[in-house]
Amino acid sequence: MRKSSRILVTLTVAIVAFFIVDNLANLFMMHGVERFYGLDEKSDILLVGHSHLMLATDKARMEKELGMKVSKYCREGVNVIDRKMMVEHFLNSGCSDSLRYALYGVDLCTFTGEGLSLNSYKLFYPFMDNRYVDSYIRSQSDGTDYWLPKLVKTTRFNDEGLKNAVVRGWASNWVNFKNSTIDTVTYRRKLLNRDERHIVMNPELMAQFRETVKMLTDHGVRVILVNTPTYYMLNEYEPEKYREMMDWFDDYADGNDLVEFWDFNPQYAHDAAIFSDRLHLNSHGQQIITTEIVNRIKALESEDAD
Amino acid sequence: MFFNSFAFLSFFVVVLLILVLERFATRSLWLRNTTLLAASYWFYGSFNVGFLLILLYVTIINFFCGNALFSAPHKRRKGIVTLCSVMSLLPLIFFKYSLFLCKSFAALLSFELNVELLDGLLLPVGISFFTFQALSYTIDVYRGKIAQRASVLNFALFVAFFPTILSGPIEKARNLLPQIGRYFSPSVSDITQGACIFVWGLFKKMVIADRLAYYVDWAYGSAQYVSGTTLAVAAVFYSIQIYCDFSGYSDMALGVAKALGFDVSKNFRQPYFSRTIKEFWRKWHISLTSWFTEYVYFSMGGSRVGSKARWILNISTIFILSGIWHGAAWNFIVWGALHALFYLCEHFLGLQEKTVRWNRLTSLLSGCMVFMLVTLAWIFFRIESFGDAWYVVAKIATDFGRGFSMGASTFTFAGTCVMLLVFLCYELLVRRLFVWYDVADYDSQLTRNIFMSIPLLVFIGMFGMGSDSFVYFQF
Repeated sequence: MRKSSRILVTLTVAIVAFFIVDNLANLFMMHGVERFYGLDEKSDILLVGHSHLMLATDKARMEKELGMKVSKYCREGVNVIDRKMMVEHFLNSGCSDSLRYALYGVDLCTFTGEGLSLNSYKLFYPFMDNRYVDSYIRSQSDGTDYWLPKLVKTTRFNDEGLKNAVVRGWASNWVNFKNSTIDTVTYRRKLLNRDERHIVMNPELMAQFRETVKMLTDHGVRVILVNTPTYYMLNEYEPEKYREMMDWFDDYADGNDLVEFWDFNPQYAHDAAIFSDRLHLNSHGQQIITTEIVNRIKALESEDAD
Repeated sequence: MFFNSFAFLSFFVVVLLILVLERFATRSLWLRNTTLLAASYWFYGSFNVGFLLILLYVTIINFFCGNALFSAPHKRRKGIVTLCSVMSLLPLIFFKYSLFLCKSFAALLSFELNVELLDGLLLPVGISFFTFQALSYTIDVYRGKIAQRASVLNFALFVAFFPTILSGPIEKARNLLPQIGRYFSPSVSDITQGACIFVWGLFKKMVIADRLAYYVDWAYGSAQYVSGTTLAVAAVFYSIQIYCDFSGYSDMALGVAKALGFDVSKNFRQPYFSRTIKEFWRKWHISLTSWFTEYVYFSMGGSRVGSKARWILNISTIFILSGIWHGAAWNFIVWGALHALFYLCEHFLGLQEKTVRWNRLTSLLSGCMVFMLVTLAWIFFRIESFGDAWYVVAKIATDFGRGFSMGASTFTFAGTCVMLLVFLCYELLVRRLFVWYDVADYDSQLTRNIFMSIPLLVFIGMFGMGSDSFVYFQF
């Protein structure tokens, strides 16, 4: 009995030690991840989107040239519903008091829904202490997927992208490492095989999008829908649907005073040298688009000053 | 229901709770074994209910033949054990080897064969393991190593014991049956020790093996496009992957059994720290090696045969049989033959002599050589087509030193390397401190082992990859 008691005491101490280690590791990881996504200080500009916008914008340069703080809250594979939660998370994070611009990444497949990660809620595990994120994850996941990261915090970072964000956050590194250019021959072959996502205008996703924009404009934030370049072959895959999609964004922006639509495709979609693949820009393309965005925001700033 | 799943955790907690409650209520051996047998059949049936029929068939054959041997006249005993072995091996041969045999005969005799029906056969998981385990009872009774008949309940539990049924260790009847026939219930110390061993196995499987698998699959999948250096790294990674995958599973099995109060044989003793191939085989998949040694090699005369040629034949047969045990494919036969070749070369070079004096430098050099030879053989084990495997070996030999690729993600590769370093540190600690396994003196190590498990749990949480297969499940 004495032996069992001794073991039980040791186990109790070990469990307490485990949770201390778990919490300390979580603190360390959270610092990196919040810094990487710009969720650790008050910002003037919020970038929200998936890898399309992430690779097209240089946060450090924008901050330097605009003299504004930028939160680049972009995650790989996030859909419109995830983004609504991201905006809600940001607006309730204490970093949003000074927010003036929200650049929302859109593209031809924004309302398609299919093709993006089905369990993308896992990307938000690190923020599940925030009640908005917590309720979102709870609504999307089953018991184990919710309770394990809830109880054991280090499991929240079981994703290579998140660990990468931690390291890059601690190192203050937002560089786009993609230096390759699109293999147009292979991509043309892929298109000939009809092996590409279709453009769909899913009404449910469109409603979620409208709610997200409204959330921002209700806070007096100017929303800029940014369509950073996608390679022209992709845009011409379903040309009518593509046109319809762009027209919809145009009309939507025209109908809202605080919303603008910046489409960079007409100018850059044919320049293969700026793409690493059909959807993502390489570091060269990133610099070009960042220059464009910086100039346009400067123009908005001077308009406002006038 | 895999060991690394929450479904298994729930199942195991329920079984454990029932056993603990039974202890307070009845302390009945019959009830404990019935509970464990029901749990084992439930566990095995969760993969495919139909597989249970094969398990029952093997159990019944060996139970009746084994017990018949106790009372059979001397002249009929050999016939009974032969009949039992053949009948026990029939399902294994049918499910595992029929397609290979049909194809090989068809190719040999140059006729076309419609093998559509055989192609769709599902290999019952663990069949090679539980068949060999059941046979160990019959053969041990035949050899007079088991003096007492097993009851049908105890024997059924011995064959189906859920911690070992899927991938071993292949327990000998004389080790496990006495434990099954004695009442005990899990103690706090057993559960704690079992949990520590399980965590170590889980770490090896989820953090090391599954992470390395990503790189290995990628490199071998694009062998034509990557350099010899990349393929060499993939070959080394595969050596570590298969060790961590299988020994990880074995440790989890050991841990689960320990938590139930049972001592199951250790299946690995850090084989990559071996100085000779002979030593490697004493430390790798120990339960299978000792099964073949005891029940096949010794039956063939072992080393006590008249001529050197006969001994060479015996050794080669054992290694090739070991290869065939893994699967019905030529690559496994090549793998076994390579090991036979290494073993024999080493023997004739005198490296296996007890008089060889090892110092640190020769141990290190010899250890590296053994690792390289084993890694070379693993290439043939991993790649099914002999041509593809040869292509990889040739590319490593001719294209080594050219650009190295880290795979789809540099960050993931770096993370894997860091985890490999952690694994190596733990392996060295395990080697020096006899962590986890030193059952005799376990209580004095308890506190240290518990606290050594904490970082492993953190690493599993952060770096573990979910996988629903183990390399050795296919065997």
